[in-house]
Amino acid sequence: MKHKRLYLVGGPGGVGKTTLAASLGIALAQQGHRTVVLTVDPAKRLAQALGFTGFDSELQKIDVGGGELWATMLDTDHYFDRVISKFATSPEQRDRVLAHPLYKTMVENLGGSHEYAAMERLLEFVKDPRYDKIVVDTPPSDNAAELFEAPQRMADFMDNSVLKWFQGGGKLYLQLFKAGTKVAMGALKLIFGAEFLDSLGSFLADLEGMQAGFQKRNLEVLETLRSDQTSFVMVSVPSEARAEDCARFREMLKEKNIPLDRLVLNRLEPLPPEAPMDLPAGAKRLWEYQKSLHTQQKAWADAMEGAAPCETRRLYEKHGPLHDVANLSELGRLLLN
Amino acid sequence: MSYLDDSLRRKAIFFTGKGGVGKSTLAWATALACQRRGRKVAVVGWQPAGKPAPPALVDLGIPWLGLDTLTTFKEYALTLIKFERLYDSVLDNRVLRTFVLAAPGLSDAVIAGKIWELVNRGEYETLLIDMPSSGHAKAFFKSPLGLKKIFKMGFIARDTERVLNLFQSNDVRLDLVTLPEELPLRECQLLKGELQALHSFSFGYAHFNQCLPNFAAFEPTELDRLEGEVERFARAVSTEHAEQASRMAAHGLGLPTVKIPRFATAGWKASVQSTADFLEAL
Ligand SMILES: Nc1ncnc2c1ncn2[C@@H]1O[C@H](COP(=O)(O)OP(=O)(O)O)[C@@H](O)[C@H]1O
Ligand SMILES: Nc1ncnc2c1ncn2[C@@H]1O[C@H](COP(=O)(O)OP(=O)(O)O)[C@@H](O)[C@H]1O
Ligand SMILES: [Mg+2]
Ligand SMILES: [Mg+2]
Repeated sequence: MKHKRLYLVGGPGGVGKTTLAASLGIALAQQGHRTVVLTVDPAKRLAQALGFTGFDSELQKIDVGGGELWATMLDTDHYFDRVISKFATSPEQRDRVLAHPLYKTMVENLGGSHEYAAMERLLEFVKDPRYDKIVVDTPPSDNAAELFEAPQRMADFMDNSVLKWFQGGGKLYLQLFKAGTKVAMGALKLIFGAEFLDSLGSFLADLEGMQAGFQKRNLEVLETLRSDQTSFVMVSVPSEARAEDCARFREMLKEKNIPLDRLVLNRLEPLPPEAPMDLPAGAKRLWEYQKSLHTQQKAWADAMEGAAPCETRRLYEKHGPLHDVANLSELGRLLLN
Repeated sequence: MSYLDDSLRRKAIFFTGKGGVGKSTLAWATALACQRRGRKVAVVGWQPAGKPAPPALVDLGIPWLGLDTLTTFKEYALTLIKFERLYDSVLDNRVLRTFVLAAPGLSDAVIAGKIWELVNRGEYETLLIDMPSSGHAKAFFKSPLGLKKIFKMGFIARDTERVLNLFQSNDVRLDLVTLPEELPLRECQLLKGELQALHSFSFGYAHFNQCLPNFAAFEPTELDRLEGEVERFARAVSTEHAEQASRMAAHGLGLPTVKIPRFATAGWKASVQSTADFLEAL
C-alpha cells in the first residue's frame, strides 16, 4: 500500500472516509511525499481545522509541520462547467450548452454528477507529474455503483443514438422498433408534453459531438482504477449492516475488475481495562456495557476480515476531537504501516 | 403527545440524515413499534429492482416496499398509456432507460409520485420512509420544484402538484436523524436549513441516535474512588457524556428531540428491536 500513487478512500456512509482521507494525506506528506487530497464532502469543521478556507478553484497548501500537503474541495456545480468547456467542440457549442435552460437542472439532478466530477478531477491529478501521492475522498454515495458508473451514465446520456432517436432520424433504431419512432414519440408526448420533448431534443442536439470525450473519459477512469499504482481502500465499521454494504461494494469492484487493496475497520470499541474486583456498581455497569460492545463488534470485525480478499487494518475509536493534525496524522500512520 | 402516538396518526414519515446515523434503524424500529399497536405499516426504501427485502425486516414481519426508478416509471407510464404491449415494444428499451435515469430530476420525481400514490391508496396506514443520505435526499425533495418549472401542463404538472401537497401535508412528518457528535450535528443543522428552504414541511423530531447511555455519567466522588487505567477510561467516557449532553442542549434544530442510546449490539435485528422497545416506552 505504501508504494502506490493514488489512494481512493471508499465505503458506506458515515464510516470515516473523509476523516481517514485527510489522515492519509497528512501522514504521506509528513513522510516527505508531495501530496494532494481531493475531498468531495465539505465536512466544514474538519476543513476548517486543517486551515482550509475556500472551494476548489485553487489548491490550498495545508500546514502539517513539515512535508507538502495540498488540498482541494470539489465545487461540483462549477466544476461541471469546466468539463463542458473541455469537451465542447467549439466555443459556440460551449456557450449554447451552458446557456440551455436544461443545463443547470441536469447538473443539479443528473444522478452521479458529483461522482462524475470527482472522477474527472482525479484524472487531472493523476496526469499532473507534480504530485507524488494523490488521496481521493469519495462522495457520500448510497451505493458503489453510483461512483463507478457515473462516467458511463454521462456518456450514455449523450449517446448519439439517443439523440438520433429523438430526432426521429436514427436508421438503426427505426429497425429496432417494430412500432416505429412515431408511436414512441406519441407516447412520450402524452406523458411529457411536446414542449419538454422539444427542449430536451434541442439540448441533446447541442451536446452532439461531446459524447466521444465522455466515452473516452469513462475508459480512462476505469483504467486508472485498475492500475497497479492505485490503491482502493474500503473503510467500514464492524456491524451486520455495514458488512452487507461492504459485500455489495466488493461485488461491484469485482464486476468492474478493480482490485481492493485494503479493508479498514474503523471505530472499533476497545476492550475496557482489567477492572478491579471491588469496582463500584455504577462503573461496573459501564464496564459490562463496554465489554459487550467490544465483543459484538469483534464478532463482525472478524467476519468482515475473513470475507475480505485483502489485508485488513483495525482502527480504534478515538475519544475527544478528531480534527487536529496530530491526531489525524497518527491515524494515517496506522493505516499505512 | 408521545412519539409513538404522533407516529400512529401520520400517513407517512420520512427519516433523513447523513449516512450511517441510523435512518434505517429508526424507520424500521418505528414501523415495528407502530405494528405492535396494530397499525398497518410498511417500510419504504430505495433499492434496485429484483433485490429481495432486507432479511431482518422479513424476520421481523414488516412489509417492505423497495422502490426502483425504472420499475416505478414503467408503472407510471402504464397508467397513462394503458397498454403494456405498447410499453414493452416501444418504451422499454435502452433509449428510455437512459432517458429516465438521466432526464433532469425525473428519477427522483417518479419515486415521489409513487409515494404519493401509496399514501393515497391507503393500503398501508403508515409508511416509514427510509431515505437515502443527505445529498440524495435533498435532490429528492427538490425534484418536483425542477419539474414544476419545466412542466406547466399535462400529467406531470398535475402529479408534481400532488407531490408538493404531500410534502407539506400535516399527515406527513419529516424527522431528522443525527449522532450526538459535532460534525454529524453540524451537517444535520445545514440539512434542516436547506430542506426548510424547499417546502414548508411538518418537521417532527430530531433523533439523536447512538448516545452514550446515562450510566456513562459519573459523579466526581465516584471517579475519585477509581484509579489507574480504569480511572482514565471512566473519566474519558464521562467527559464525552457531558459533551454530548451540552451539544444536545444547544442543538438549535428547533425540534423536540428523541435521545436514543447506543445499544450494545452490532446486529440488525437486535438493534431494531431494542430501539423499538425504547421508542414505545417514551
Ligand atoms: N477512528 C475514529 N474515532 C472516533 N471518531 C471517528 C473515527 N473516524 C471517524 N470518526 C468520526 O466519525 C464521523 C463520520 O466521519 P466522516 O469522516 O465524516 O465519515 P464519512 O466521510 O465516511 O461520511 C465524524 O464525526 C468523525 O469525527
Ligand atoms: N441505537 C443504536 N444502537 C446500536 N446500534 C445502532 C443504533 N442505531 C443504529 N445502529 C447501528 O449503526 C449502524 C448504522 O445504522 P443504519 O440504520 O444502517 O444507518 P443509516 O440507515 O442512516 O445509514 C448499523 O450498523 C446499525 O445497526
Ligand atoms: Mg465523507
Ligand atoms: Mg440505511
